[in-house]
Amino acid sequence: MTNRIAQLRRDRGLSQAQLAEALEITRQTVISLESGRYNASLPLAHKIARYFSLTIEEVFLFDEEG
Amino acid sequence: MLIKLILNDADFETSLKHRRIAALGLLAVGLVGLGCYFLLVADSALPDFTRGFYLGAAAGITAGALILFLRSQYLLTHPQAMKKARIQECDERQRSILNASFKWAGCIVFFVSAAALFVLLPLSMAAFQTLLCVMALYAVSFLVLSWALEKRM
Repeated sequence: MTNRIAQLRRDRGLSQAQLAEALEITRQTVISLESGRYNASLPLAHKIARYFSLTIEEVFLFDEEG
Repeated sequence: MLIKLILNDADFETSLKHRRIAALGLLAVGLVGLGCYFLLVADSALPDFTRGFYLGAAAGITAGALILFLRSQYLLTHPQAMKKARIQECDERQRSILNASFKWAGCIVFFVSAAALFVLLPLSMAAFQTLLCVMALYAVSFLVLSWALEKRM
């Protein structure tokens, strides 16, 4: 699974720390999510998608085979 | 860390209140240990190592309990610090790391203990039986918890 968090964050002119603050997670988690080292849980994915006013599928790109 | 992992309710403030109570329980254990040391062990004929173990364990538990109590109390009375601690402790990646660490540490200890049984048997039957009992307790706890969680989830 990949995601567009880094791109969406940059489009909105946010720093990783600001996004972390808004989502109430640590900056390290934002870094790990953006780099794909960590996959968000469903509640966090929902929170992120809602923050960007998008659907989960628009933020997280699921690999059909995975 | 173990107490933080166990006492982690959905509401962080409730967790802190539970931790404060747990800290008082631990403090009682530590004080009993220190009492035993000063009243029964300090002037006894027990070896230095045994006396040192009593003092070290009791002092460690007491200090840990005091730190846990003071930290919980501080966070409960300082909203900004509580928010920062909540984000840090409730962060799902941090919790995944903690859970994975516990899982792998448990696996490593179990397999090393199994290997240690072969070494201990010719050396000390008491140590062999103690380690065997600890491993049996681990296995039984694992099975009971698996069964209980199977029912809950």
